Amino acid sequence: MNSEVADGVAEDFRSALVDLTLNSRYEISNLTVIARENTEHAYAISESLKSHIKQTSPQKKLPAFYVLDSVVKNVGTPYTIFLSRGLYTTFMEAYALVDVNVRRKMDEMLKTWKEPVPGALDSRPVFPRDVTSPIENALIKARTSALQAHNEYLQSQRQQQPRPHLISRLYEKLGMACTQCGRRFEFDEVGKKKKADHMDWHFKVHQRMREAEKNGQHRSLYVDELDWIKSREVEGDEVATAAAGVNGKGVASSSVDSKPELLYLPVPDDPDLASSHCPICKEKFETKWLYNADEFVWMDAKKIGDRIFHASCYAEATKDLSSLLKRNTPEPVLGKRKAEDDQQAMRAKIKTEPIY
Amino acid sequence: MSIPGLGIPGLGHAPAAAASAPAEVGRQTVVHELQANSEWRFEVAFGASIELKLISGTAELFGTELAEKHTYTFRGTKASIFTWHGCRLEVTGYCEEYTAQDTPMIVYANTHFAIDRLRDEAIQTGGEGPRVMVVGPNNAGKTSLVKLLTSYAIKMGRQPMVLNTDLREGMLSIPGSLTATPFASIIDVEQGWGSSPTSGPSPVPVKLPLCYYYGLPNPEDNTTIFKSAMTRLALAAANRLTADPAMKGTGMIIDTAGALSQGKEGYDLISHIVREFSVDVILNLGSERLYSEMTRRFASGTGNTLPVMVVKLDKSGGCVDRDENFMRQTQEAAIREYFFGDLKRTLSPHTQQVSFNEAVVYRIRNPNNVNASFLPGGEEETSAPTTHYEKVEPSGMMLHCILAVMYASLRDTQETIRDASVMGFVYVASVDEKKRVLKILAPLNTRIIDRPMIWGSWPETTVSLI
Repeated sequence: MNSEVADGVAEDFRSALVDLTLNSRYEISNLTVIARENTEHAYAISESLKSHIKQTSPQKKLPAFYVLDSVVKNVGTPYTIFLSRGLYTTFMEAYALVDVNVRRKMDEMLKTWKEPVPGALDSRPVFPRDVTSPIENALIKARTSALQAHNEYLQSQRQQQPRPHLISRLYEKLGMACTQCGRRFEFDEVGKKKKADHMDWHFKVHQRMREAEKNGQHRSLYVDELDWIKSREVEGDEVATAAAGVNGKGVASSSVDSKPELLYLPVPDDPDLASSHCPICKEKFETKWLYNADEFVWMDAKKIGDRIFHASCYAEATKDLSSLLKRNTPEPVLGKRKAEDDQQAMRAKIKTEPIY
Repeated sequence: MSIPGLGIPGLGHAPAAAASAPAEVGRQTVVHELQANSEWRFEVAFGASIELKLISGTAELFGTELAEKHTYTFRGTKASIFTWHGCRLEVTGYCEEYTAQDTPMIVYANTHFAIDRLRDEAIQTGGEGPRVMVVGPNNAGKTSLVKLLTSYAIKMGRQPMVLNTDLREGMLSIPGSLTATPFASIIDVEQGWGSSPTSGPSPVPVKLPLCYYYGLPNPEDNTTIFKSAMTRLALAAANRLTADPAMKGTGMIIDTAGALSQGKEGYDLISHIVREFSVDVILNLGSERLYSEMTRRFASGTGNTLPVMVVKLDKSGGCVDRDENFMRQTQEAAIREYFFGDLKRTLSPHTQQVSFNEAVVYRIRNPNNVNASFLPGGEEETSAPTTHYEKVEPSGMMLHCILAVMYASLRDTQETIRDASVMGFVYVASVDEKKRVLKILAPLNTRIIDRPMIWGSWPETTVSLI
């Protein structure tokens, strides 16, 4: 009888899981509550959760893992015991099927499993080390061997083996060469159009060069860091500055002097980066679980290049630079840039990292 | 006060005139027949020039394809033209030359395609393209390889970020500068890497470098300043890569100084570059010892870096030693080109009077001499001077020196000034200590000296520019 009830609970749990397509905070906590209230059926529920993760499509695997994560962190035993069985397989099988972004989330999740539940009295990690270590090792091994494969491939290129089919990718396969500069254009219509525009450009440049030789010309100043980062090389052979935030997702702080808005970054999966300190104040970052972003984040963090800074520290450190920007630039360095672009360029400052 | 580039006596740089000089006695035209996979290597002396035309077949100069029947002019250079398919070259004028059959080009090209495969993978996964660094002693062909890899990447529609950390030769700037430059368009065949922006049009699309200044001839001379320059360069380049989807998947190609390949101090600086730029691939040219050192240091990763692919490549037989004299002439030509333009384009710099009171000049302190071992006993290394510059009053010693005008304000701290990028370079044409006035040559007619300027000992100019 008990097993029938268990089957029923597990079945309900399973059907709720099937509907879980997004990282919905409400549904995840709902499922966690069900698990908490039915600890006597923990085994059946755990099995049901594991088989769901195994069978569901790659897009739904992450939300299901978040349920697992929430249950072990908020309810704990006996779920932790049942779910650690076969966790390696559950985790690795799913990992193999999902894309880079989900993998990153899974890496982050795995990392949190090695630590105690945030804020909990229990100082033991979420899962025991002997459960998480094999997963970790397998991931490290996989990454290293991918790298080795690359390396072996690169080394093998040292052979003196001619590859004419490859060389043709630098010549005939690229199309017809421009008679002025040798640049090649494809044979198709688009290529022909490009080539015509390109020849036009050569013609105009020659004209303008004759003019310029008469009027005199001079070397321009180099651009500063912020303008340079925003500049884009574009077709048409002119260096132009593209408006910031082209990627859509980018959050550009609206004003140079305004107080930086609260920025956060997903906790990085690269272990070195994850253990890094702000290069400016040398302090660590504050990690938080952001429900509306469904992930662990570092508050007031901003990635500049390969390093992570406190957004506020960085803003402070670059203040001098931006105030310089506001002074009158001696001359527009990029010939074609319009006045409004200039202003926009000043307003936009450094584009901040998109939030994943 | 404007000084047009033309017509200054002693300038020794009359563009156009050289190319069409009348009655060039003994200026013969020769046609060279090249077999497939062979290379024509040539050296043109400074002050001399040759015209070269591809009559038929295909040919490339460090990866950039030559246009058929187009006349290219070369002066003061040592270079080579390679053909994959065979070609006929018509050459007018005198140069030292020979044709070689034995080249490492197949390996170089294969290396390019291997790197390009990493780019494909990066683009597919939304990741970042490989960051490739080329190391090797002086005259091993590092810059030529960097140029080849850049050209091939551009040809295949990539947009590599190319970094120059070699102080002997500038890239789109004067020697001693450290630059990061995105390349999306063809590299100039006749003039090094091409030209940075000017106020006028350019026959080859201009490239936009971000420029930093170190000011000393060797990276080891002041490792603190050199390292911080590397850090700034890496930060800016990585920032651009993240912000620029077209460049992100292509990655970086980094040229290095030959001086770094000669011992522990240099290797440590290489380690710094590897770390700061997150280098993925190290291509070693021509030094067995360097290759083994790179493998030992990076191939299996360290506590804070991932394993790096370390690859050994043969040096090309075409690499020639460029003696001190040739290097000096190359360096001076680059400085001249910065102010006065090149064969294709005359630029007009401007002279400006600056009073001693107005000029804020920082001189680079004498570098690493303050060695820990020389410090009085018990003194901690941390108490070594934190200031690397000293503010100096202009003096006659500045005559004929190059000053870097920094993107910083006069009130900024030394660290801020050190970390700033360069706005432009000026040349001290004369110093009047009695009237306390400097005459400087600036690239353009705008007073740019209300900024801090750095006075280094590199690049040095041995003759007067004007």
